[in-house]
Amino acid sequence: MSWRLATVGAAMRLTDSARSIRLDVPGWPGNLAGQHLDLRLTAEDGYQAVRSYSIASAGPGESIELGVDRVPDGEVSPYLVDDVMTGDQLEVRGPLGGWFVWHEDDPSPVQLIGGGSGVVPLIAMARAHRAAGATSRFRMLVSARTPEDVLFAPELSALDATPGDRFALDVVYTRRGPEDWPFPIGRVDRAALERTTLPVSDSPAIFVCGPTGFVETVADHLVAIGHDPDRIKTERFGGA
Amino acid sequence: MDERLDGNVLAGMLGELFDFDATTAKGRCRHCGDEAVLAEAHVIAHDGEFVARCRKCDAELLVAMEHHDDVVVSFRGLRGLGIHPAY
Repeated sequence: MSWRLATVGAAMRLTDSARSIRLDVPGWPGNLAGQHLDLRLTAEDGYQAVRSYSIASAGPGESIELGVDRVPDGEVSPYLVDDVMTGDQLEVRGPLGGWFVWHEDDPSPVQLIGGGSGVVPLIAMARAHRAAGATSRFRMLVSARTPEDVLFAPELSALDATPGDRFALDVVYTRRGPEDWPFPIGRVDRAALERTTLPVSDSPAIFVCGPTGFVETVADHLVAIGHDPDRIKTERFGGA
Repeated sequence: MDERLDGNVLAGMLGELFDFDATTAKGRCRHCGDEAVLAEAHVIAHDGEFVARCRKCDAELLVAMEHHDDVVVSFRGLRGLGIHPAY
């Protein structure tokens, strides 16, 4: 494993606090859906900061996409969200992690559950699922503060609107929903999970990603509902 | 600033030591005997130091540090670590 020099190919605003960053990484061997990378910044005085970021893209190729949410007072994420420009260079190490990964030959129904920028590795799975033409059922639950805080919202809506039942999207809003939103506003609880996620009888593979508190609360509810803990994979994100 | 993460974050550092993905290897806690892949460990990150703790009993499993190109990992809380759960 070694550090590779990456060049920022494009940066696009996703929400008020998040940005999509496309990196061109010569020698990148491609990555599985759900993997992450380590990103290293070196200051002029030699000080280095390393953070892990999920990869929003999947498959072969030397161009990859990150989705980064600004962690206030963080060392790296404010730079990536507010300052980094096309042509800037930084170091990356990866692809990393073989645990929180969806394999396209897995025929199981899949339940994705993302809080905030926890959506990033999950959209990689949704994209890989679509690209592979896989027929397994994907359902995705996103928890976001407001409708303006959903990362990759247009793409997720388009996937949801695709005819057939291969992909379905649900959103739980924790602060404010769209006008006339018929569902409760608030954190994802057991009732919300029972309303919006695949039932225990489907024995879905479940991927949960988000802030630590979100991941642990959701995983506990899923087990209480009756899901097999061995079917639940979790990733707690940092990236400050 | 302490960050509460999980073992997934160790993949890069451990990848400097091993030529396989150690976060998918199963470890057994020396304290309570729980077996889990390292990805499932609870991890506290602080200033480049990562302390992985047992998901069940919170005992320390390993400490990993990275400074520039130096990586040091102590596995003192693991009774075993294997791709096949044979101890």
